Amino acid sequence: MTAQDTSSAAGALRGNLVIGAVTVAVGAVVIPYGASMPFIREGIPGPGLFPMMIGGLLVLFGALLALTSVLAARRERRHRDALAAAHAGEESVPAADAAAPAEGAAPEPAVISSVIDTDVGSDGPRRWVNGAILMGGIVFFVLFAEILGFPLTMALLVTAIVWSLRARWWVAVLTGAATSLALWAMFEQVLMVQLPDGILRGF
Amino acid sequence: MIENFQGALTLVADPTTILVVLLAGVFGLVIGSLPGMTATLAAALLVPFTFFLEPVPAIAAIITMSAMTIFAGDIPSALLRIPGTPSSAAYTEDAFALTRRGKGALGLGVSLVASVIGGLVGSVVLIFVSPVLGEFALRFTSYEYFWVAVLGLTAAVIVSRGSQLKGGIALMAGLLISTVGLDVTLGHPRFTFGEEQLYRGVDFIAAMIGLFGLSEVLRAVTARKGESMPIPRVDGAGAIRPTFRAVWRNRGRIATGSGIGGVVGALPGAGADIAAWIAYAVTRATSRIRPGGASTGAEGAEEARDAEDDRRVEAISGAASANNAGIASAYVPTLAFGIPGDTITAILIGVLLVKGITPGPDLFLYQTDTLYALYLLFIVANLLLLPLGFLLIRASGFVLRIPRSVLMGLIVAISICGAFAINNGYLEVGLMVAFGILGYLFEKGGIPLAPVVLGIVLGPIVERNFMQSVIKTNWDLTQFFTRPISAVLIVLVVLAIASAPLTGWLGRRSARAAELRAAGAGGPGAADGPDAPGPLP
Repeated sequence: MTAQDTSSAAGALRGNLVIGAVTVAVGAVVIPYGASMPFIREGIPGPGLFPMMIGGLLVLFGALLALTSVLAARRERRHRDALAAAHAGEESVPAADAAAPAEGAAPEPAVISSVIDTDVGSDGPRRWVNGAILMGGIVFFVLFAEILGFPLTMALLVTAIVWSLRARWWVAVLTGAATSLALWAMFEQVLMVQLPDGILRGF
Repeated sequence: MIENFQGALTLVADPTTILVVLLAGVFGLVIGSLPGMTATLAAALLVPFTFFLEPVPAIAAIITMSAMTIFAGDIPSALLRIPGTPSSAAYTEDAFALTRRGKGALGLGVSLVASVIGGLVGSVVLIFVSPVLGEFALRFTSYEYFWVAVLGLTAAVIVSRGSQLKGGIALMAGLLISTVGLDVTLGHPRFTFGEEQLYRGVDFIAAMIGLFGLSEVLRAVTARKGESMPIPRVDGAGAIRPTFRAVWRNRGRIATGSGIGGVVGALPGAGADIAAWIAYAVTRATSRIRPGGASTGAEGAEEARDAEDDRRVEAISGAASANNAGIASAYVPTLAFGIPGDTITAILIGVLLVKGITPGPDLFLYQTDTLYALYLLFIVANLLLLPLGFLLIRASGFVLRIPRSVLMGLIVAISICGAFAINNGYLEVGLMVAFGILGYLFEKGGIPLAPVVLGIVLGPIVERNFMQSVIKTNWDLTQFFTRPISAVLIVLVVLAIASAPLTGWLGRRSARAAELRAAGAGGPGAADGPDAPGPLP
């Protein structure tokens, strides 16, 4: 109906085409890999058979997804044209478009007890920085847990993640320390799992 | 039978089990009430702890947690208009509308009592149906197991929301992952890339933690900024009496809802959320409450609004009982055939296998103590839901204020510990990260995750039984089709496959036609079409 609608539909089509292409590509890699293993020997099915079947279905589903998305987009466009033609005869109804979101966004709330900030999202490049902190933090843990020990490494990791999500610094530090100590106690003392001690060995 | 229950009772009455049940219950209630955190996520985070427990407390933790989570998912539905778990999505609008009319405590109370009753009915279905099916399954050979597993896989694809082709792609991804490791016939390494540690295959639990735990955190940290939401207050006190009155009025609805949940949940692949949607539709369609008063004026309008509230309470009774009934009856195919009914039971199968318990007909012959303990746990968990649920309704504002940032840090920490503890090694941590990224990408592309899980669990079963059957009969493929039980299962598979595209196509077509008709009639209703922007992010 609006320009935004059409662009999001185009985005969905593009997304589906990418998924279809990747799926076909994975299938195309899996089939020869399966074929490199014995798949049928003296009439007995071998390890390559099942991966080859999966690869074949991946290619099929990927191609079908791309095809149906293109067809659906075309049908949708034609339908939109028909809808526009039906609308053309009368006054357009701009109010109706605005009514739906307005109803959802601001209800007359009954009794508000408090306001929560469940939202940890950010805008702009900050989102990717947050993602990098999360992933880098886990890599840091894997690399340094044996050296620094579990409690310290985990506390640093959790602090970094919580802090990156715009929590106050002392909340982040507190969460990091409490989480790592609680998990350390839980796994080492109650569940008897050996976690890396690192420099804390001997305490 | 009595002896079995006595043996089971001593297992359940163990102090460790009781403590685990209470802790898992509270954990489930908290996770369920937080928007976006599903019961599957809760199960994945719980697994690292259950790993080191005895079998019965481990099962107890997962059962109690799932019963609690499904109810707790109704809380953010009512308060924030965001379903806490997908199972509450069917009646979120109704629950939220009741809160806006100042009847939030009533709506949540009804949903709690309906959940408890539904859960108990589901447990009864489980107790009486699973032994029958288990006995039937004793006659299964590799052919039948092959078809049951295929049926489970097919169902997983069909019920996946959105595009079924994407469900198919997700399923193939899961099956492909399941082939990593040494193969079942010759012990030939597949997709191991020379890494000897991968000969064991991809660890299922690391995959689950990544797919559902880490991917959720990844999504949260890279999310766009949204708005903070006001939490309406719900007065828990004094709501108990009207709650039970409303429950009594809607007893028929609760019975139907529980029945629907019990049946739908037991179908392989269809879980509690599907059960809730179906029960909701049935309750709405068969409602006998008239939508509006005939009288005019302010009094008439108030009457009409009250009638609408009654209709909403009615719909909640039906759907809230159905999803809890579905949770219990999803264990029917799990116990009888070893085929998971939903993602939570898939995770439970992973845990049971580690504990040396093979779900399937043998359970009914050799491990009756564990089996009866499981039955008892379902009843205990649902009874416990009643007091804990009322407490949660009163404390809901407090639970919802837990800061997201702290929660995300906690999930990452538990995920890493869990993955590490599987083998005391970093390979599982790496796998967990890889699956976290995979889950994140799948979610972005609108590819459902449930078929991936079922693919990973059922892949080896399908492959092993196929190979066995083929080797046994020397490629006599007719055997797959000519055996009587196989034939029934094949018909079911074909029906399932045929029904999916047909209903989807019919639905889309009629939606488009209706939209066009509405536009042609000149009504502004055209804007309410399926592509009207939803209010939720």
